[in-house]
Amino acid sequence: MAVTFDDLLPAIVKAGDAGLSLAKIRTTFGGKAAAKKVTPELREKLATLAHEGAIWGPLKQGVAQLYFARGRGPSIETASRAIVTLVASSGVKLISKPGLGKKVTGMNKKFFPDGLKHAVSSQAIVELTCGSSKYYLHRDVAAEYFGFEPAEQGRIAPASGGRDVTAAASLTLDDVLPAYRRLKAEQGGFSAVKIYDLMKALNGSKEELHRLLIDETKAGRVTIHPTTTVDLPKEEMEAGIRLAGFPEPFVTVVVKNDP
Amino acid sequence: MTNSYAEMRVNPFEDAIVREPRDVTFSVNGLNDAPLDRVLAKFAALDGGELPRSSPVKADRAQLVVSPDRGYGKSHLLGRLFTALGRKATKVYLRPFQDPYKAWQSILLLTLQELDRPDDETAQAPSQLSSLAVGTLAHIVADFAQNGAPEIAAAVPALRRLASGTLPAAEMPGRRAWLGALFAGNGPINRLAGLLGSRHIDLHGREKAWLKVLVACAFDDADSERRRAALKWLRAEPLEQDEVEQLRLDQADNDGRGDVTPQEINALSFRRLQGLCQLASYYRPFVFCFDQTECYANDPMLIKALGNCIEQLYAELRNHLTVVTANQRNWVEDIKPHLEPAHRDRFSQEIALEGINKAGARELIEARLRHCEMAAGDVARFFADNWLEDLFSTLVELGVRALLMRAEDRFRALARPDAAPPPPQTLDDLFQVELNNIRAQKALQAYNQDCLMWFAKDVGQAMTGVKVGRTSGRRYFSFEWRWPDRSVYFAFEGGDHWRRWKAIADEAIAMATAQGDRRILAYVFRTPDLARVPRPSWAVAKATMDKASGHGFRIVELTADQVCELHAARELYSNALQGNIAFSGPAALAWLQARFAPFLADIAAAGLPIQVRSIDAGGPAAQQPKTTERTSAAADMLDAERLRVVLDLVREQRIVDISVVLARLGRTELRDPLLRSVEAHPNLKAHPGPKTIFLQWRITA
Repeated sequence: MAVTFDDLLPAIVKAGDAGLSLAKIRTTFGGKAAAKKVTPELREKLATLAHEGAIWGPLKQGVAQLYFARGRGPSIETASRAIVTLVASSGVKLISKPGLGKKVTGMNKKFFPDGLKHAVSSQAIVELTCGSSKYYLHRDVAAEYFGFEPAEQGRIAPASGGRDVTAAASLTLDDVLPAYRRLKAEQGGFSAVKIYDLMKALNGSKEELHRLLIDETKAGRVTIHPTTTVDLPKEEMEAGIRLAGFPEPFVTVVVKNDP
Repeated sequence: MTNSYAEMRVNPFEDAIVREPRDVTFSVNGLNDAPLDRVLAKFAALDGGELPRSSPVKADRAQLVVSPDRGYGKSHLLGRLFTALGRKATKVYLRPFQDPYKAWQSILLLTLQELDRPDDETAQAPSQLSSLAVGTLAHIVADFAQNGAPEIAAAVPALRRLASGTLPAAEMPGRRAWLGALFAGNGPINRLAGLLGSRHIDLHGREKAWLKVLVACAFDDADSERRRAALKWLRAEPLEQDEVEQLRLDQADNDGRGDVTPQEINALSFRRLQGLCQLASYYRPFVFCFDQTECYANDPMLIKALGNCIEQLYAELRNHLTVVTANQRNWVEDIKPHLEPAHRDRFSQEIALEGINKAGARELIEARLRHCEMAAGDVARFFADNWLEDLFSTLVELGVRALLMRAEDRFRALARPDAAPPPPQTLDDLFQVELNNIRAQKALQAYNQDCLMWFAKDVGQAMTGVKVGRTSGRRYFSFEWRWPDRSVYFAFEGGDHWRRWKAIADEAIAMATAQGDRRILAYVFRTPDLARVPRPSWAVAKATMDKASGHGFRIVELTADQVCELHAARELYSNALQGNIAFSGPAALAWLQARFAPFLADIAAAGLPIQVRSIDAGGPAAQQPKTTERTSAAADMLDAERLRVVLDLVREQRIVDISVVLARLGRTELRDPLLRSVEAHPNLKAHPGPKTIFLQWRITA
């Protein structure tokens, strides 16, 4: 069955973040003369779809010119996310601007300058200067080393950490153990308890629990474990501990040598 | 200065999944010693004192090894267990069964496939089944001699040593020949069978049959007709009349009937397994390891069948230890709630796996780098810039696979400092790795009805408008793809008895007749390692099969490549379910369904690009079985001259692409014999990758 212009938008939508190249569009929708040039009808259809906001492009990628559906393909936000991930995985090893630029590849590369500004302005990363060179550090890494709270989504962490020191001192492993043991018993004695369940049982602050668990992990009294499944419930993912250099949140905890 | 990291063709940290416990060759000092010791302590209760046992040992509860997350080394622990037990146990690695009504048949088949392998890969090593048979027969004769006249009793120590395999090599052939001659007639068997009772072994009136079958397993050549018949009897398959005569069995001993229900097949399979476990009193205990249990999670019937198996293993089978591995989340949330409360008690308390600490991480990384012959300076470079200290700055321990993934990144960065991070592996890449791995190991290519069932059930459900499910009231065609106007049925049969095949064909005819105008296709898949059917001597069965072929009955002869692809598909899906790869089970399944869509369509519509066997007389099916049945391992390998070429090339290059080796040999079709030779040679190792297989030279002690 012959393809029509009505199939063009679905095809671009289906191409997702990879986009659909003009050459491919031309050969599929451009009729017999497709191999040579873009027909006026096709050019008009593309312009109409772009005008309506259903698609955007073309984006030059090498020799290809790519079209994307609305909300798909590279953007300042996707470049920003890639940059934040790279800086986070670098941990306390500071990464320079040229170094970062080399690591942002593919279609995000075009949006690197704006993506970097976006990442800094959203306070996901901080820009440090040494002479004329610029380096970047992830806010969670800084939070971990300076002992203040990692910022909530969309909220800026207070410079002083903002943590209630009195409250911090109040939560200890002994406070957590009764709830841990009850949850462990409820699941038949299996030792890995969900941090989400523990948080609910304690009815306290997530940050406080995270701080305690990280401290106890460093001390070797507990172990924390990342998620096993890639489709974990959202609330369990959100209750998990995020550590620099580890893409998945740590969602369960085991108290060692607890009978 | 050369960068030795850049020169390495294989990233030594790429391989982060244990696919077969026997692949485990290295373990970090102290890592997971506690869980391993707990399992070994349970095994010690089976292993105490001299063989043979005065009576079979009652089983303990199934030992439940639980991982807090993926990649903490469940399968690796099984590998260590296998290594630690060595020749003290027959170790059976059980991938998930798929038919809840024939779970014991699946377990029995895997047990016998294991027993048919040698204990190690050294040339001329006897199969474990042969050793079990010799051990049993020699001990029984020793029991008899023990109470005889002094000159007869003098032979007892030598017989016991023959049974345990500790007789000096020079004496072995003579003693074996003497034992074989002793059992050549029925008289000694009739007398000696009664001695099984003295050790409280009850084989339900089949004691003589068991001894006759063991005689064939002990003394016949691997390819002999009689040994094949013995294996069929052990697999609970019915025997042809000539096979009954070869084994000198009574008619009543041929208890695997041709036309039976799945429940009867399952019950007989269980009795065979029960017999093998009792006879382990003379040889060594079994260790049954249920791995990949995540695969049961989406089917409550399979979970109930698993619980039932664990219950029966505990209550009715002797001389064995059962180990079950699971990821905690899957076990607690998906599997345990569906187990009968009584069955839950048949599992031990959790045996929790531990993560690797910093010292262990260093040891593991150094071992992998040194295995690739990295110089000390290059190894030190790996740990520069506090890489390891940074990794363990917050965590005291880490899942082993998480460590290996980070080490893989580190290795890549050292090899190509300026290169962008590679794109993540696609499902296609991961599938190719599994495919190359299956190709590299012949044992993984054997007939496996669970794999075929899984394919029909899980992959098959992708087709448009199809309703996939188990049939009810059918004896053989246990699975159905159903559309409003037609159905495709599947039977899974590994045997070659004419009566069974006639019954299968009869059922296909009955189904077609009952369906009226609805079209049906009825398939039975066969793999290259199985005997060919129909045999030339079949008359009645062949006539029925011819008639059935007019009603949509087809025997589908899968090629070796197709078998590898189906096994690789199942491994990929299993890896996704276990969290071993960065794709969910549904995502992996969707990809597989798209990948196999043409194959599914061919089956569904009988388009038949797959090679469907003609069952006409004189067709390829009618060839003499002797020439088409399993060939010896040696015939599957390279000849000495070609092997020498391979050894010289790999020794010189250290790591070399298999395509280069095949080019040197001059024939690409030598790939499978080459892989068989690599498998058997101590200095060669295959590294399956997404694009190719690399062959590595290994320095052995």
